[in-house]
Amino acid sequence: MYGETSGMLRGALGELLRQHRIQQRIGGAGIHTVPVTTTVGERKEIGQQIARYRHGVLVWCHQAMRAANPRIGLEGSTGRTRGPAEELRYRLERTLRDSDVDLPTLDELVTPQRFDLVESWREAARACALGEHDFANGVGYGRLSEAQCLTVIKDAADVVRGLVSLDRRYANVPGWQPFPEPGRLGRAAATCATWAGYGEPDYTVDRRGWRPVPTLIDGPGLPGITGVLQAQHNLLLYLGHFPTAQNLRLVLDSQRNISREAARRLAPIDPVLAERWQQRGETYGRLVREARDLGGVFGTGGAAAGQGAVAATRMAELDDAGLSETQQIRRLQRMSAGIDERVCNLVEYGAAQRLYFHRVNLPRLDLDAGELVHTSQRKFVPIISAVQSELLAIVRSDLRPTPIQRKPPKGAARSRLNFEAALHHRPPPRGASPDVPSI
Amino acid sequence: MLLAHAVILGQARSYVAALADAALTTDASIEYDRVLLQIDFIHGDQIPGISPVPVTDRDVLFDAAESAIEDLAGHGIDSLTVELVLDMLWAARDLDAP
Repeated sequence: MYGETSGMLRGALGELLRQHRIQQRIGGAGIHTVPVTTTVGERKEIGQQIARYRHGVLVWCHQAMRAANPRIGLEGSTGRTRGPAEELRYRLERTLRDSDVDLPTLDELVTPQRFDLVESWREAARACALGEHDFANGVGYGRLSEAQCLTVIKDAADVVRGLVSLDRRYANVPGWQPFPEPGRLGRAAATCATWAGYGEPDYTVDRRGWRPVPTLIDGPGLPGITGVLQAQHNLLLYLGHFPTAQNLRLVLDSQRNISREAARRLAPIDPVLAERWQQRGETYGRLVREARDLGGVFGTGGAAAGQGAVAATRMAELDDAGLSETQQIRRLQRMSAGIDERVCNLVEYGAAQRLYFHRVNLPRLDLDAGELVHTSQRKFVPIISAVQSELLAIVRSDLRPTPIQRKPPKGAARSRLNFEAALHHRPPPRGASPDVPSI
Repeated sequence: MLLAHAVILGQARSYVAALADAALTTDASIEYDRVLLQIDFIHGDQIPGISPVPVTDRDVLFDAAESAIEDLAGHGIDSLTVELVLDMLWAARDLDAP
């Protein structure tokens, strides 16, 4: 997720921004009581290593700016025609173009480093390598709201400010390659951060981005409510494939039974919640009735129907105290809401693409079938035709769950405040103890 | 599927669906729906649609449904399968008892 990777990056860079006297931290001279442990050549190599890590961070910033503000063709523009975000992106492109540093290799990203300072750089570069996946998986222009775009831009601009600040601090490292135009890059980043920080930030963007693909929970059936959750989880995954009409009917039937059993067990514990499950069961009951004449052989769905039946059976075998854990009930609710949404999408898709039909009997014989014995003529009509049942209406009005208002993760604001504090961090005066206020 | 089989199957489906709609308890309605699903599962997707039935009395509906399901045995459906469906029908009937 974007929140995890950008949080890792801010954490590592915040650590670096609080560290001064860089030469001593990579084994150089500075304190007479601490021996020198590295040669100039070794420190030069360390500097080159840090430059590669820094290049990875810079590439991430450029990708973030492109994802949140994808204006193309900045080459013909001038400083007067570029806005704050375009200016920062332009400066980042110039810096990357003029830099002859390579990206860190995979070995360099995964091998722990000897010095804590280099290790923090490695963590920052690793977070950026992981964060690249987020921009293709939900953190991109068109998928984000305006406030979320501005939050991403502000994050990237703050990281660039930190990099420019560190660039000045590392100038004494042997063989250090400073940014080509640090002043312009720093000004562009500061302006962009101020501009993007005007409005109210939307930290729900932290919940977007790449996630590991959910997998089936195989193995023997788990006991109690966990077994129901296992089967419901597997059902949700199997519903990713389009089911035939018959299998869809079996899934609807299983969800009706699960809802009724849940309502029955929850009634003495939480009547309000039980009422909600009861309503879900009735909605599925109406869907089962309306789907009696649903036809359609396209698709699969046998596995989904099987998991639905397993879930219904396990729910029926639960004892009365089986639904007493609040957390498990919430999980069941969340999973069932996911199934509801998937069923809604499947029915709507099947109706729109004419994969599901209504079976209608006609009061005459089929004379064109080419058979010796004529059967009664049947006709399959699309769900969206004049003889449509209430199926689509129920799906749209009753079954589809209300969209969840996502809340930002707990540490989102704190992570950014800490990084902001690190950006404005100043070293304590010489001789002052950090634990005792100086007079 | 021949005409006679289609007619019997259509009757079985229609009467079981009518029983599900006329059931006194939700549990019985669910069980009748399961019987309908089982009949459809046996025949695949080649099944006639449900037609309105002329009676509303549950006893008459049950007798007609039972008779139609029994007759399926004469149209290529093996007897054990038919017996299992009939058993499901009777189980639903037990739940529907006033």
